[in-house]
Amino acid sequence: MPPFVSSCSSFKIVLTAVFGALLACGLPGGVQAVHAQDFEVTGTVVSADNQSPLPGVNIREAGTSRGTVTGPDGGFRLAVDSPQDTLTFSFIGYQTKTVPVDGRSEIRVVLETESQELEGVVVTALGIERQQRSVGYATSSIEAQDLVDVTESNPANLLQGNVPGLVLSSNASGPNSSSSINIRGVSSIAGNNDPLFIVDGVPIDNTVIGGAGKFGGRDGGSALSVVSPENISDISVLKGAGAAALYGTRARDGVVLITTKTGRTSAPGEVNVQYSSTVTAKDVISGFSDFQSQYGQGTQGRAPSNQDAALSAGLSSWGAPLGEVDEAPQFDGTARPYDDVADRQGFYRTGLSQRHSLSINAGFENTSLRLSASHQNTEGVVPNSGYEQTNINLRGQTRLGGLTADASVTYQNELTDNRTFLNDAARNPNYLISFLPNNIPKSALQPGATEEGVEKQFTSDGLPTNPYWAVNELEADDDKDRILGNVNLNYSINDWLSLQGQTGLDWYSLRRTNVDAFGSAFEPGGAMTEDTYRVWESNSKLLATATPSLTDELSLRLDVGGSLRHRQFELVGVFGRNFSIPDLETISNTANPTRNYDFSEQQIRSFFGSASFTYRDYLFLTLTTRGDWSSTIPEDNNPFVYPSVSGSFVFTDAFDLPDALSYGKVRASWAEIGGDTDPYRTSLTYGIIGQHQGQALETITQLSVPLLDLKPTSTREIELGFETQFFNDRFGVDFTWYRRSTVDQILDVTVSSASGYTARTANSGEIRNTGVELLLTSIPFSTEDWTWDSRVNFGANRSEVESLAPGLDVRVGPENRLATANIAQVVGQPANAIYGNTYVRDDQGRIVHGEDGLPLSGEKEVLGTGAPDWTLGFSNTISYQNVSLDFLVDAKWGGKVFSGTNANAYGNGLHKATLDARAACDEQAGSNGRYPEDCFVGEGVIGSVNGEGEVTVDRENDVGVRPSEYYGRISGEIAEEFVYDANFIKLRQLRLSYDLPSSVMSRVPVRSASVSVVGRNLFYLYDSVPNISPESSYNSEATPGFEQAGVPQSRSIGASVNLRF
Amino acid sequence: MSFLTRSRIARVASLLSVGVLALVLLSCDGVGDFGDTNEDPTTANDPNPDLEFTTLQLGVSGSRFDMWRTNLIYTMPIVQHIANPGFYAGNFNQYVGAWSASLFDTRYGGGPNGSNFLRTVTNAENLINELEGKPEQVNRLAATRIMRVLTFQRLTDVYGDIPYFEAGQGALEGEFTPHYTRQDSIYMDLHDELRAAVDQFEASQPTFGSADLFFGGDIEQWKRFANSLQLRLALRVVKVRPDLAQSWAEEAVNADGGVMQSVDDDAYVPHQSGPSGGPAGFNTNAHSEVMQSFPGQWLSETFVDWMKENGDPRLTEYGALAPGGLDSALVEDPAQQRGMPNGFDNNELAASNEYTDALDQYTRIHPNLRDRNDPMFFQTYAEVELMLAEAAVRGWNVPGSAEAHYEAGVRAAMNYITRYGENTSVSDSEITQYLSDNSLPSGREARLRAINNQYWAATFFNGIESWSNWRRSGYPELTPAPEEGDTGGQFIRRLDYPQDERDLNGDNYQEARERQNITQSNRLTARVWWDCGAYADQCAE
Repeated sequence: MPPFVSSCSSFKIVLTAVFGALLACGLPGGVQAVHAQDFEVTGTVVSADNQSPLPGVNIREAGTSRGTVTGPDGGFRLAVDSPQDTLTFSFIGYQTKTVPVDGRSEIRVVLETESQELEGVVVTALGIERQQRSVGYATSSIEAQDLVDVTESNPANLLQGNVPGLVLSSNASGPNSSSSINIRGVSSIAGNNDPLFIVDGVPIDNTVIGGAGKFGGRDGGSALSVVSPENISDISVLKGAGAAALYGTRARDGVVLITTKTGRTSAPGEVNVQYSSTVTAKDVISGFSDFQSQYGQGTQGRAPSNQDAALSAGLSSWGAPLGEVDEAPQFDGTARPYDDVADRQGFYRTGLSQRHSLSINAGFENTSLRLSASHQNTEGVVPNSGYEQTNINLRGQTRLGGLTADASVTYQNELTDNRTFLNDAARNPNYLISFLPNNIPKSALQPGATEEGVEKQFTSDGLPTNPYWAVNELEADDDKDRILGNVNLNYSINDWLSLQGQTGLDWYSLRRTNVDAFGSAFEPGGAMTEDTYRVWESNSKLLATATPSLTDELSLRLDVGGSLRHRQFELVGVFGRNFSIPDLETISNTANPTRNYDFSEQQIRSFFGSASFTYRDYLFLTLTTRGDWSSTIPEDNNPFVYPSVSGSFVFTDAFDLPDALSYGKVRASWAEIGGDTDPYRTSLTYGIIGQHQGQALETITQLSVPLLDLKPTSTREIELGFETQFFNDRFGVDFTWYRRSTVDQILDVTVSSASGYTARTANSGEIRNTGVELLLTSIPFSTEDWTWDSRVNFGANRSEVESLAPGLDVRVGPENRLATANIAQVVGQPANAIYGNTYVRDDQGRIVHGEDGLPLSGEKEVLGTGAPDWTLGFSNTISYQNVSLDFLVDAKWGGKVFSGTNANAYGNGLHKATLDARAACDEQAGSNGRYPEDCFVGEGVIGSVNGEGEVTVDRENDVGVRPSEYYGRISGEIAEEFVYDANFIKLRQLRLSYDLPSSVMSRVPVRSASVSVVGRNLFYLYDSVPNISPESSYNSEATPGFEQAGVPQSRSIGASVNLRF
Repeated sequence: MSFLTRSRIARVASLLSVGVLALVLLSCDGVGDFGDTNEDPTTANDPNPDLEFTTLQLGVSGSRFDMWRTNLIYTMPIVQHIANPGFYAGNFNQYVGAWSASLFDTRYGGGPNGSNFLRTVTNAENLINELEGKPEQVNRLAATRIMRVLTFQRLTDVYGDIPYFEAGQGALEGEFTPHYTRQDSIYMDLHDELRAAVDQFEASQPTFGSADLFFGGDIEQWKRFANSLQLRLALRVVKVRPDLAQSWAEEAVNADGGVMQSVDDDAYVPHQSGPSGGPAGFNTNAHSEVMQSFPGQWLSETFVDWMKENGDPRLTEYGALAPGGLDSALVEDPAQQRGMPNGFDNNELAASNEYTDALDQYTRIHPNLRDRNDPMFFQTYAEVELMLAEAAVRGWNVPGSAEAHYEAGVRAAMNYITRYGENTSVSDSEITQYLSDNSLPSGREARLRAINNQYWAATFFNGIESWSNWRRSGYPELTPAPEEGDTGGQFIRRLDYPQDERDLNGDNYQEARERQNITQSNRLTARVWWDCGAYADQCAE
């Protein structure tokens, strides 16, 4: 362990000194002159729930260290200084209450449970709970009740449609696939744009390791599954920089704060047991709808004449009309009827999933414990893919005088079977099945292996893998063990000063095995990879909070603290090819395996401070500052310090306004957040890349020229908004407008490869996002039996690349498989633009063809962006007595998707769009059925385009070509044709739940029970993309807006039972 | 201001002072000192020239990615060594941008997949920068300069004008938009570099030794390789600068060390069958990687017919019929061999009266030539002898007769192929028989034809060299593949630059295209300077 220990210990000494000093300063307030205790107060404390006495309640005399606790009957006796003193009553799970003695000698105190306290309270940065009214920026929260009994192994997906302005896109992969979450648009050109996830005050690692790229790959899986939905108490989303400034760098794109449940019970000494079970079935709902079903495999209008021709035709559906010949030879030499028998969707199965969870809560006088365990077993819709998760969590809280301790530990194991490869043809089972010609029964491909045990190859081009071979013989398995630990100590020195220390650890080991079986067409000898990743992150912080009283009208809260973050990543891997014994799939059976080792480390040390002023409980102002030293930034550019200011004004409390307006608040914030970068970007290094002929090989590691004087990035955001409630909170409006811009981007700028590098690291460029967020809440009716709750949330964002590097207008990013489009940053255009080849058109918009009769491919242009213009969620809960029905409709509008599936369907002649041309050619076909070479003339003109892009039109197109050439050209060279509006309106969730009435419960040893039926991702009410789901993507983080041969969208329908004992 | 009581002021002040103290303490040097945290422990900060040189040589040999595209897809079908009825663009006169650009992409920047070992230009420039100005490094420097000449000549022969003087300097000079240098200037400098390198060797100083995959640090072999490369430069410019060709050739054979003397001087990268990490074709032979995984390479009808006509014993070494697949019994009877016509796809074969679409009836590249440990050749003694034969025919002042050089060249060309494995060999008696059947004819043009036809056969698998020599010599006399493609049925005479260059190095790219009169329609048929390109002063075609 490198220098962390030594340099860090000095830092710790500093912090200890600081807090020691703070303590010392705080004490004089605590150890005040001792007065005679000449007044005795007695009383009882009861719970507001059922008026039962509460034993163990902590009672303190304000401004002193004196106190006591209530006895078993809830009674207490305490001597105080004067009858004018104030007493503070606190108890775990209950709202703390301050009661003036007011000369009384006997007091009855009623404590409200904490859940009631939560109303109007939001958790903000550093876990500071604040009244909603005092917050100068937008926050959103989701209650736990919306999360249980919905099976999503990636809890992030539950945010979909529930938070204004949050855009979630998940990958078209199997169970527990990763998803990207975007709040207020893309801020970083090259870096991560996901929000920071905080669980009970501690950041967790949300890095997705691996993913599909241009040449395929597998999804890396979501790291958020470590949080069991049953354990979540609530989620709040801090959207703006103002909200997140105190968390620093990683919170630039917002924070998702997850608070988990504690073990508190409704009465001390009670033990609650809760069990829930959910069974879900998942099946494929979309895909292949606009494929033609008139033609079969073949070329130039003819079915294959023999096995070789069938193998070489492969995925080409440019054959004869189905039924025109009775039968045709296929790839395996067997002649089969030439009919529409492919049944592509039938390849997928119904995936069953079960989740069971058990939790035990035990609440004592000053202590509570919660133990929970869950197990989930999910089958993917792709055969032989699956996911299994086991999660155990223990959390305890205790209070000892002024000290509160809260600790939790989670262990999780995840087993993923056969994560599906995406995009490219090799290994991806979706690819071949997607483009299977109509006359090939998918059963002919089964079981994927020949009798000799090698891949039953469908094409002579070995790249597209037989889907049954892919799912039966290839392996892509993950085994992940993860431990999440967290200790939080809070000490109230006196009534206005407290200290908090927290440390959290997130450690996991991910074992990944990939096997290309012996006999795979693309890897005949077989190959395998065994990788072990170890990721270790610790976060520690110390925080001092002071609430010195100023005047009756003005109060102040100060928070000062420091934090440390340390992350290490390590990969130990081994790769080998060519199994000696064909079916023995182990590394030692490969010839000359190679090893792989990688390591990276980074640290951030920070200080922060915040001052919040409250005037008359309706005017609020908060100032914050934070400074970071990041190990990834050169020493001279450290630390980087950034401030924020935010305020709110509850005008309904300040002025006398009509009763119809029950609550009104305006808010504003301005904030800046600095950002660092990945490790090791500031120098050129030399890596050993292997050996050859016994000689070690060394070369420059970087493909991008590093920047020696790297500066941090800076994101600045201004936000304005208001919240109003009308008619006794029956109708509410929450509106936000923001503008944020990120400057000094740290990005790799693509450069001419002739420079010797593919890129250089630059510290320039600006992206601006402007948007609005709107939340409408209403309770259209509410009677004793009936209630109807309705929410509409809306978010619109417009991003623009203001600048890149000097002289650079276009920064090209990842490319699609057909090499017709890139994800690019183009100055003046939205971020992450789909930048692809267009048709050449004349001034009348006609498509210009070359002398060969094929469409010319024009300049690359921005064809849209994967990010939607706006998103909308409409959720409703209608309850009647014990029955409740809720549904969520969500919509995305204005984004685009480049569909590789449709492009390939054009090229392969499987797309409906190719039908007209073929009808024309069928009529001209010769006696042998073969299309003449000039049977189809595309609509448009013949002309040319010069280097300046000027189009010269010669004549109407009169050059005939074969349809396969024509559509092959469009498929292979024109991206424009396949960029679709990715608009949709979807019934995301429908749930019916029923709480069994207490009359039934009294007869069984169960306190409460509920059953529910839940459907997720049920169907599209509107959808603008043919053949694929508009939400489909193979790597939503790196290449938003690109799709090709993913796992089709599926819907899930499940039932769950929830019992409390 | 009643709330400003003394105790309150004291409390706030003490708190603020602590805050200030905290800031002061935190901003001291210790907090910002991360030691070597940001130094990657898996890499070195200082280079080791020996290890870099091995990498540079291996990089010249390429990976599956670039050699598949450049050689198997383009140069070898163009020069009609092989044919493929599927998608090999060179077989159909087609332009596929990403394939056409792959050598450029990889040799400068590592290519779209970023293979840093393939950046031979960058790695050579970087290594030269480390070695320059150090007297004890002269031999290493000279060898590296020769490797740089090798890699640049291959690039300019494929593309014409290329980034040269300013190339590969992104990290060294911060040059991100290098100029394209005229090919004639490049050739002058390549010549000067070879001369300077040969002059630089000093027997008393250390060499790369065993890190040198070509010659194990043998200075004399390096000199012979450099002079032989100069001979290649000389013949390349024979159409546009015959005067220069002659003087360069005469200078090369008379230079210190002379030219290659035997097959022991052959310049090649030895490969090994594994390990299998890294890009395919990293340790292994890049061509073999393709042929193992995608066995779709047939000998061209042109090549097979030429060998059959001349009774060439190499026919069954280079090719075989494999009716049951390449791993089954082969048919090696010369009479039954049948080459595949260039320019025919499966459908055209099926539709043709002359040919069949039964692909197993065509001669495949012999499986002995697709072992992963087969070597990759860059220049052979055979080529040198054949060049000397041509020099003699041209009446240049080189020692030895045209006949003697021709015979030595043919003999060497049949001998060096045993490096593909002992199963690939031609016996001395077969060679002698062949030479007596195919002796050097009389007449200048007939002699040039015979010599360069042999050069063509001797550079099988070195597609770039074979195609370049065909372009400058006109031999063998090929007929273009009967396919319009993107060339109007003309031969492909150059490959085109990456389209990214238009966006990323636009001014220089446009300048180079204009200088060479390259347009979208002639991007594959425009001629490079030594092939009588746009700015050639004269053309002796």
